[in-house]
Amino acid sequence: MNMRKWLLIALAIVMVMGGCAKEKGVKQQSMQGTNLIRTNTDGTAKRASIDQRPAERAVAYVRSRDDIKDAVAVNTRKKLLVAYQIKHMDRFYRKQIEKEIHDHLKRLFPDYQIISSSDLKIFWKTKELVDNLENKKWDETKTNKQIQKIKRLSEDSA
Amino acid sequence: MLATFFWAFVVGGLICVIGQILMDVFKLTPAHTLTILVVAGAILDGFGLYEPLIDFAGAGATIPITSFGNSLVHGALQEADRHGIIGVLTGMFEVTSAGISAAIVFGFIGALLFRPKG
Amino acid sequence: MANEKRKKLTPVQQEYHLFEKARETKRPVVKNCFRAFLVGGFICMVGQAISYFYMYFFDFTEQTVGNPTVATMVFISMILTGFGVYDRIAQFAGAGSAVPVTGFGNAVISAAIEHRTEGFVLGVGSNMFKLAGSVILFGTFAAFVVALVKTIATQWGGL
Repeated sequence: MNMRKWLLIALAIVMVMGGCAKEKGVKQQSMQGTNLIRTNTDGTAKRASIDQRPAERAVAYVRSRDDIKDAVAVNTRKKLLVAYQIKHMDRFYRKQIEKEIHDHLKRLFPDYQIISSSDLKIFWKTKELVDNLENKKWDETKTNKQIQKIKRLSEDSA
Repeated sequence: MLATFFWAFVVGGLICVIGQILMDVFKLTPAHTLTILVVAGAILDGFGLYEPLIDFAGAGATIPITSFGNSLVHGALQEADRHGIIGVLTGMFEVTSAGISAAIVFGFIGALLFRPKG
Repeated sequence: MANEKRKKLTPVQQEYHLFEKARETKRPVVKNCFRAFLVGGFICMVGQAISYFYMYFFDFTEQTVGNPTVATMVFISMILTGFGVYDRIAQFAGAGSAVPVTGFGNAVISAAIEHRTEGFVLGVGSNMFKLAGSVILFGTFAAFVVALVKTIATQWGGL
């Protein structure tokens, strides 16, 4: 009796978990699909109306580090937004890595205001922005506004 | 993302095992065990060791009660940075408020909704 | 049992004591630890799923997602405690269910529910933190000391 109740509860939890997990997986998959169609794997918007060469260089640098899994970047005339994901085993050193990358980017692009983050949420947001630029939906003022929004988000601390 | 789930499981599980060992091997009551873990979390954050663990294990480090001590210290240090030594006192619950206020609010709601059993 | 207490016992009682001790079930430490690991890890994984949920659908970053996650876990803990499920999990998992914040929530909420019959002010209000109070007290005090030492060390010690 007791055991059976227990099993039922465990089953319910597993089912709820499973249901949620599946939904997430499907969502992610569909997101990946759109990325394949819209953007190349470079992490920058090649077809954007604003020149994205600084962003490309930034992505190339960040990806060349061996503690980085993936990177995306967007730039306007004054701002450079770089988001990246740290390899899991290196996440212990997140603070140092963030600082190193930020300082290096500052040296590489002295004319730009640098916003860089290793946060997953910022990564998602930046990727979305790259997609929007790639499809030429967005002009510079709108991009600037979004970058500002992402910047504020990245400065939120716990 | 899968790696985060895996390490959240492992790290969270291990912290619970430490708690179990304190209870079984050192024969402490649950209250003593939790108290020790909270104090341990506070001390670890003092040495700057807890934050990297959160970066690494995500919820595996924020869900166990040790993170309560960590966030208390964190709030205090943040305020101390801004307002000097008095911030230690005023900033303590700045970050932690979520856990305690949630416990208070939901505790009261629970008391309203549910009836005691047996 | 304390030694002095044992001396007061009659021989029969002492004999029984030895008898009891020989047959006392040893705490299955390894098994308990394994269970604590599984359940504790599972709870943390649920927490991770919740924090990804908040990050994906709301504007929370990895740095800020902790608070809503903890609040949600405590909410879940309230539901499970109210239906008496959490106590069963606790019987199985030991520290695995006590160490996560859900255990803290359970301690507060079960105390609140239990003392409801004594009225809301005297019962619920004053008994809510009966179990969790020590955690809050020592946590806060330890944090105060640690933060004080660190602040003094960094501001005047030039560390």
